[in-house]
Amino acid sequence: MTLLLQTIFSSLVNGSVYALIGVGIVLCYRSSRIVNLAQGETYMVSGVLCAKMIEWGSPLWLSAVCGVAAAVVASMVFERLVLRSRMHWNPSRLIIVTVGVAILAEGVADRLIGADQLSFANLVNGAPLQLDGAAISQQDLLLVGVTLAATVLLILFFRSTLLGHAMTAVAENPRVSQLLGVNVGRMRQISYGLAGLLGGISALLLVPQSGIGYNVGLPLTLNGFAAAAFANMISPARALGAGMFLAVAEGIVGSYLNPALETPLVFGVLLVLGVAYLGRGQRFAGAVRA
Amino acid sequence: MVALALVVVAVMSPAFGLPRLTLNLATTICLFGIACAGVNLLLGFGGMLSLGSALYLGTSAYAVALSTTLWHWPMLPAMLAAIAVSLLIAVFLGLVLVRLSSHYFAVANLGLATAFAGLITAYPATTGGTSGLTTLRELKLGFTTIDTNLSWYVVALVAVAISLAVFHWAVAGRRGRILKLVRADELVASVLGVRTFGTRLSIFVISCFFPALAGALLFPFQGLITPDTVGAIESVQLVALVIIGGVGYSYGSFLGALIILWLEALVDTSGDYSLLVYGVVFLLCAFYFNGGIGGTLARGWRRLAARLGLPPQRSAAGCTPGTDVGVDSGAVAGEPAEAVAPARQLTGAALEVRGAKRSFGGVAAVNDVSLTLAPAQITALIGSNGAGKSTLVNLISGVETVDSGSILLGGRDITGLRAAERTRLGIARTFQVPRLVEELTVLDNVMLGREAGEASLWRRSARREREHRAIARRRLEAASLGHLAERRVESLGTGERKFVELVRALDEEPAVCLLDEPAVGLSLEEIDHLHGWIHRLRRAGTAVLVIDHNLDFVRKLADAVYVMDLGRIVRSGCPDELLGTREARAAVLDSSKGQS
Repeated sequence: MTLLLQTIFSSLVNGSVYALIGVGIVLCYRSSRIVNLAQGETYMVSGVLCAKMIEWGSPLWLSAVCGVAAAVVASMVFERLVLRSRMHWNPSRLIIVTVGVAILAEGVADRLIGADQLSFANLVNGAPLQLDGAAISQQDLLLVGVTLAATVLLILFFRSTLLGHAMTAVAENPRVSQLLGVNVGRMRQISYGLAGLLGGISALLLVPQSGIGYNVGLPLTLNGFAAAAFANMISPARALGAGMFLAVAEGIVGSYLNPALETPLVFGVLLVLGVAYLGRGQRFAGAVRA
Repeated sequence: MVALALVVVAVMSPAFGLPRLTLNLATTICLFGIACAGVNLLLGFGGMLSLGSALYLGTSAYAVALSTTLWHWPMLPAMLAAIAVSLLIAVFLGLVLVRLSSHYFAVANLGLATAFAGLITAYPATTGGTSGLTTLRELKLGFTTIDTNLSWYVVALVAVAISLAVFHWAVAGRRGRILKLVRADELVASVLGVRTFGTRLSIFVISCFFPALAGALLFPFQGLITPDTVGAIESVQLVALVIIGGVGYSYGSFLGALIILWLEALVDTSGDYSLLVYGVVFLLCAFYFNGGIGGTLARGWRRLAARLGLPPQRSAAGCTPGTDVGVDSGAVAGEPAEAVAPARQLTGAALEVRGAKRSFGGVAAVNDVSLTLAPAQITALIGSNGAGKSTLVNLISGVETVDSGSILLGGRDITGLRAAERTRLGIARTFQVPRLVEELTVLDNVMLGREAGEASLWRRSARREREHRAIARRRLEAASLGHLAERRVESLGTGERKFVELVRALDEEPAVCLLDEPAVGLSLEEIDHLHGWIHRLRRAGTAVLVIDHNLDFVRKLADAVYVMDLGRIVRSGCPDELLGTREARAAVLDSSKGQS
């Protein structure tokens, strides 16, 4: 029981990061139909800036705020300067543009911080929470809590505010929304800002234990993409679920079977599930009348 | 194509004198270009983005590595076996994977590649774990041994030639057209008779040949294979190389590999700035080369050719338009009637719908509808918007399935058959809004009507293709569309598209032809033209079903009329009876609007 609880605790931390990046990718995709492979870089920007500022002697709270702000700004600037004028491009070409931006961001970070791993102290300290012999640190608890809260808030936002409705409308059908008077460009801008916010926050919470280097973005993005894809790129709630499920399943395989087998086995199971349930019946997707 | 291959080889040659382009790098570029060709084929012709193609590179490389180090197989048989094993794996995975829709397909492949890399690290005793497996950098061929850089480069060039040949074989002529059709519009593909699942599976397995070939060569060439080479990041890079090089151009993957790998080697000299420089150039390539470098080159070449007055080059189709004209120009003049071939013979009622029902949620779009189409007869179906006319056509053509009821073609129950099978038995249809492959020419689109329903994707003869081309051209000319034959569909207007789609349906030589609002959007003159066409279809013995709103058009055209409202047939009879007098029309209009 202790082992199971401990496994779930540590998996939830991974799952939170998968989910936060995944939800960010979902937000970008909803508003622009682009798979944003630069999403992980918001994590990197926020983490690196925060760590550097602390190194220069700024207080933790200020560094944290600046880090998150930088991630939001970076994401919005990316949307404004790189994507907006190219929205009519072929999606596959735009994916490569996002990869290019990711490489460029890594290159800049490489110049600024070199190959060293940076880190900073926990946001919250204090005794770990004990439950039946298993422990979870307060920082981890905060990360999981923030992930859940952020997703729930997003869902409430989409369900019950006018702006949220407008964003959902854009996600469903950009052209029709535009004809109905929704400012699609602004919705996209806001979505990218929110995605940056999520990436930035996740860095603050995870960097203290895993550290940060210039090249953490792309691997994170790929994990997040897996979560997002199983949410069909549209639903934040399902991205959260998929991220958590992915991580917990990995953790359980790792603890009970063989740590090295976790990724192969989990992806195998997910694949079967995906075929049996998710990928079905949307071939023609009602486009018959065109 | 040969010339192109030569150009590629020449440019990639280390002898060309690019700085830092060593023999070793050139060989690596060739191998990665080969691996990328698989991604290129799958994305460019299959429309499937795989983020996991490094998997097949990995299975092949590790199969070679394990069979030579563990079981001490000689290298060459080990390589051949490895390619075979990888293809087998591709078949099994493909059976599952190609059913997935786009995002799931991408991520499932990504997951498999990650999983494979994980599996390799999980058993370090056998696979060498993260440090990988090593071997001597040599390949014994019997008459000679490949062990110098130069000889490896030659081997790589041979492999490039093989993969270019396979690539061109896979997308030549009819196959390329069908692949483009499936990619552009899977629904239309199945309506035209393509077995889409088999087609997607075939293209998937063929695309896996390329990384398998590259992987088999990579291990002895590098003398080393590590899990890093076969994982997710590598897969993403392969995709990037292809998109930069030019998706859909056989040489695109090689160009991409050349530019990016050479660039990587070049910026390595700039020390700390290497990643930054790489990022900038990568982004510039993505920004400024539309359709990749290959696409930019192709456009430039077309412009140059146009300026020099050379004939436009046909893409991968194998025969030039000039020869076609020669073949059929003699036949056209005398016999315009041949433009519509006699319909396949069916006995009794050509098509019978019995008590068909179909609901969407709580709405019964088609509710207990029965109707009969006779050979050599034009039947019209009229009714207000939302009456269920198009749904009925969808049910007959197999795009949607009935909830209950049955559909018989020439007495045979076809209720359980898919759209493709029904088409092969002789049902053709058009759509309200014409659905054609935009990037193909009008002639190619028309040819697809006949080709899509033919037996195997892999049987292809140049002679039959010439014949088809000649027939299709004759049909187009009989429809006074001959001047459009070489135009790409994307440049056509609505009326022209409608007629092209009609000619495509005729090219299937159907026994039953379903026309969904053929006259909408046509000018009066075009409607007259259409009228003549449908009559010719009837003379050929085809059972025609026409949906339309235009009562005058229907009255002049049809032999029998059904009126539909809210999913039911509310009236039927001969057109003069139903539409002949003002009062009768009013009654029809009333009955079809009664409850809405």
